[in-house]
Amino acid sequence: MADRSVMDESSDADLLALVADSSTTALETLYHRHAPWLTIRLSRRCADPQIVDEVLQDTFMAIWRNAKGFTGKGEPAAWMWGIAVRRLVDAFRRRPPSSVLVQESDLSVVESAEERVLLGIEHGALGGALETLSPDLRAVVQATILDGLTTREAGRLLGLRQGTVKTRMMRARQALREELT
Amino acid sequence: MNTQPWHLDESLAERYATGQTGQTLAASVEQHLIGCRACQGLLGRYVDARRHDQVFTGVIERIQAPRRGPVERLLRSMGVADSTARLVAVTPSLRSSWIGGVLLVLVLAQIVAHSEPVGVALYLALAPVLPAISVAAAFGGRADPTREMASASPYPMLQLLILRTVAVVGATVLPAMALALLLPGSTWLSLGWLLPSLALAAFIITLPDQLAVPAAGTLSAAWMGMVSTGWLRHSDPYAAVTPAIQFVSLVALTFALVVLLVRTTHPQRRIV
Amino acid sequence: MTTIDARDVVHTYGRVRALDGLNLVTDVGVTGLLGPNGAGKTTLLRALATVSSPNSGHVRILGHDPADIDGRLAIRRTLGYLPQDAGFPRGFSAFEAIDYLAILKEHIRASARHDEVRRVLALVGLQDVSTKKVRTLSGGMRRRLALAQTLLGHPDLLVLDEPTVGLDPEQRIRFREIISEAGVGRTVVLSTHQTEDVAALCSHVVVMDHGRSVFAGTVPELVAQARDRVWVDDQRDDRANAVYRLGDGSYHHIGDPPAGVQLVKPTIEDAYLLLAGPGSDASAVV
Repeated sequence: MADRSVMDESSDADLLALVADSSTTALETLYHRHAPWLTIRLSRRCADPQIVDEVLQDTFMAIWRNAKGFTGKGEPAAWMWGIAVRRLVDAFRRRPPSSVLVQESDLSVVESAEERVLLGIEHGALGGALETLSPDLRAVVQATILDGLTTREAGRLLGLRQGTVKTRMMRARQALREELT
Repeated sequence: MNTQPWHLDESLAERYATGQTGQTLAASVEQHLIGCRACQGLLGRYVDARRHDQVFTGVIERIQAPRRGPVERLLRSMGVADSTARLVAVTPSLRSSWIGGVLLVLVLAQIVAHSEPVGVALYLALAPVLPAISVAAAFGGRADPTREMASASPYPMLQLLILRTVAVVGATVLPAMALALLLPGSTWLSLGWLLPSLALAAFIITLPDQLAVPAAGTLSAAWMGMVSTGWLRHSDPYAAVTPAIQFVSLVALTFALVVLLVRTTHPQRRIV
Repeated sequence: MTTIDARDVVHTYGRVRALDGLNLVTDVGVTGLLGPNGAGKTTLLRALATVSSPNSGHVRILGHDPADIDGRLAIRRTLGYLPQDAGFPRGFSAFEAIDYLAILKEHIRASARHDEVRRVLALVGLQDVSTKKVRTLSGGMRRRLALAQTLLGHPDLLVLDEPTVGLDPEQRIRFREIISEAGVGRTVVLSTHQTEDVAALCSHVVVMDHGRSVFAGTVPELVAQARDRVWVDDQRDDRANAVYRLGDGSYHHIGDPPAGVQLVKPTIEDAYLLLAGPGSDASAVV
């Protein structure tokens, strides 16, 4: 039970079951497996590494406490990201970030034709349509549709009022509809 | 599980990790990462290993850290060193038996008290010093399964006993007060031990470690001495409950509380 | 180097002389105390752990006198003690239990203390259950937990009272391994009923009986005590100190052999029974 090398072979769901049974070794295995991509994904939404680390720590604390709450349905990684992004929203509520979010450099990167193909496969027409959106609208779509946040949470994450998020979502939907038809 | 038609290659992983992919591509990568353990693994090298380990150490520390109850937090906020606060705060988990013991003794004293004045004197003498006796009982019996190990540790057990006594004063004073109201004589007189008892407790907690034990012993003895002299000389068990002694107690209590307050506001100057 | 030097130690409980002129000298390494119940093993170990004081005798532990306040404190600062009935409040987590003992052992700074608690929990293989409540742990795990607290702060002296009692064979082997590793470079004194523990663990062995040491030496020296004094015969010979029936129907004898019997190679158990066995009261054996 305490052997990490055995756990390295276990599925995420099995590890979560062990965590629910208070196994710190299982939590450690999960951490080494998932912390890197969670860190990077969080870093893309928050430029302050200190906040990212705090959020990551809070996330794994929440995983430890709520592992019983993972029903076994759905992807454990998606469940973990759901926790992480909400912790990030909480962190922003406690301490409004000075410089946050999608770095401008991100937006200026021109994607290659090959990547457009990848995207097309991944998101179908939506991927292409997303690109036609302005960065403002795209950020809102990402927070709500892709990260699964409510408009209120998205507002906190993006430093916008809830009303603004709603308006932008409306505009984004309209733009996407036009693009996809 | 992994039925994804494409995977991250080294260069895409690097660009994603270093923030050089556009938002739509990044979103795509992120959706993919949710379900693909192999690609999750690709990102390990882009996080700082030390930072990564530090965060987990923090998680483990928080998970394992002993839960701090209200008593422990209160003690710490009063400037008690955290290890000492911990030792005192865990007393309740060691004391299942002795709260009952305290009540029993007080009830017995209460019964005796009705054959005044001996009983009243006994009650007045005992009530303020009972917490110390009850903690001693907890240490002497089987109540503490760690006792044998603790005895072989360098920590001065007598000091621990006194510290815990102070902590349990709060828990014992209330039932003692309730019983005092049943004593013959004026309510104010029968509660006359309360102020000295609180003053004693508060005063001890302000003292440096090495003075706590002798001071507690001396002051308890002094109180019992006063009650018995008062009773023997004047056959009045309440003789010790003079305005003078109340006043002295009040001054001592105030002084102790001020010291504790100062320590709360200047936490770096910890003495206990 | 002599680490414990105890001479003519007497400890009485009322009229019972639990230690009756006991002598014990140990060195760095693992010393095992063997002896029947009531031989005084626990009394001796409690005296070595400074939790009880003998009535008379000379005791030096790591150069300190346990009768002296400063000496006692110096010993306690480098002592790990596993009492026979070591327990923890059942509501504590494994971590909290060890953390509590660590505070008593003067590990004041919380972060360093918590690191030390993690270290000793890992040594006994309990790191994975650190957050579990003591009451949910198995008996073997609780015993390991009690052993963990002895290792706090790298003590020079370990005093272990029947560390392997109540463990199943697998746990017993694991426990021996931990103790054996812990015994490198420090003095370990342990008591046991199990001669296999002694064979597996101890560089030195002391056989106690009636509050005295009746043998002190190495394990081969102990076994040599029974050389030419163990034999197997088809007939039971009650003149032997100890006799028991073997699975094949023959009888295993320990004592002074009559002429012409088939001698066999002695074991630690044979030597132990010869020294501390009931002797005249052979019927009580086995």
